[in-house]
Amino acid sequence: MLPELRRYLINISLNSRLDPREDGDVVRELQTHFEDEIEELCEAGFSDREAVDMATRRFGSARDIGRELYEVYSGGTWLQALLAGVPHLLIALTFALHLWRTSYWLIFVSLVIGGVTLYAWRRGRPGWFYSWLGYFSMVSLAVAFLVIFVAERVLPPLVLGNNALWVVIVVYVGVALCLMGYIVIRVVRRDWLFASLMLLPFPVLFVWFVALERDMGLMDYPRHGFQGGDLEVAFTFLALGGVSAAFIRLKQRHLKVGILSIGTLFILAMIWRFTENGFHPVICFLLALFLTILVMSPAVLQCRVRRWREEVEASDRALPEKVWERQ
Amino acid sequence: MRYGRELLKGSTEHLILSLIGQEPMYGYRLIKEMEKRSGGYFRFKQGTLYPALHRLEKDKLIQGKWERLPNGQERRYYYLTELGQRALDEKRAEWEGFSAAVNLVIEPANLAEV
Repeated sequence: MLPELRRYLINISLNSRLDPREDGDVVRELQTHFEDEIEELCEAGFSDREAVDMATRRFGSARDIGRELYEVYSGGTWLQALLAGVPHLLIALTFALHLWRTSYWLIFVSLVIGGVTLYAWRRGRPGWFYSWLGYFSMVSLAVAFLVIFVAERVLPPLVLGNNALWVVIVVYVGVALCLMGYIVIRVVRRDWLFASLMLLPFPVLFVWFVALERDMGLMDYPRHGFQGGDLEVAFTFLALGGVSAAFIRLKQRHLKVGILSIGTLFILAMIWRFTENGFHPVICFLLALFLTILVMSPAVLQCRVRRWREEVEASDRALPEKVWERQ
Repeated sequence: MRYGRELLKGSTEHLILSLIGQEPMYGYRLIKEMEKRSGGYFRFKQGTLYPALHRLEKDKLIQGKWERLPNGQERRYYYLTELGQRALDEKRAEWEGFSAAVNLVIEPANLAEV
């Protein structure tokens, strides 16, 4: 395949942002179209390069076609929307029924989140999978902390040595952050919006932690619970579920961006309303700004990843055919 | 010409369903067939056909299947589904009603009768 045609197909593929299975099928189909068209043009006396140039011009703008394909596949069904909302609903249920102190329930929720995430990963990573992936990374974080906690008690100073727990924690946090960064970059390579969907619970948890620490101290929360009950926490996760479901249902990209940013701000406003004294308006503004930037940061990351890939592509024309196919 | 393009935009799905309804086809053949049968009138950016095909497939009006040609190459053939057949019948009836009404309005003979 001539590099011009390869670049053209990559461009369609990048703009359509389909999951790997759909993407492979669509690109293969478009490739067969160009085989026929180029063969016909070559038979008519054009050179390979002229034929590719003419065929791609007749085909239209790669960006527009990619975007049209994106709209065809981006709107999920009601079932997919429900699936995107389920992990948030599970967390909401955990708080609404005060089950977060029940270890069996927590183990059950962790297993469900882990199982569904791995299942969806193997089934081509559909859009709803990304709201599970966010919690999955949290669960792995929690499990690792549990392992450290147990190790500290079962393997006392003999094995771990003095202050070893802190060393382990620091190393673990470093590894966890690298792993998280790696997952985000992998997701961003497909679509930064999915990375934002995945990161959505983080700002909510962060603001809850800040609010609880300020109002009663985080360590006291497990003993007394949040003032007025866990219901408020549950409501925010319920709202997250609604935002995720709407995100999956919407087709247009700008509407997806809108629901993510407005949804984040709305949920932060809910938390502000629920906390006892609210936050100082300036703190509130800064928090909202920081967290919106956090949710939207994958967009910047995607630009950098794409530029880097283009540079690699430009500097290495001898790459094998399949390398550009994503993941 | 711009008017014709707008008309085509609104009728693409109808035309695709009609052609596939007559015989299962793959994308490139569909484009060529449409150009040939319309005497070159329906010439459009070829890439717009594929999102339309995939939209119809997602709506379960057509179904795509990879098939091997005698020369060993593979092509994605599209077949009309039962749901697609029903949609095609509806669109055809709509079109007949619409074109008959337009003819009634623009034909000079009809003006004389009024």
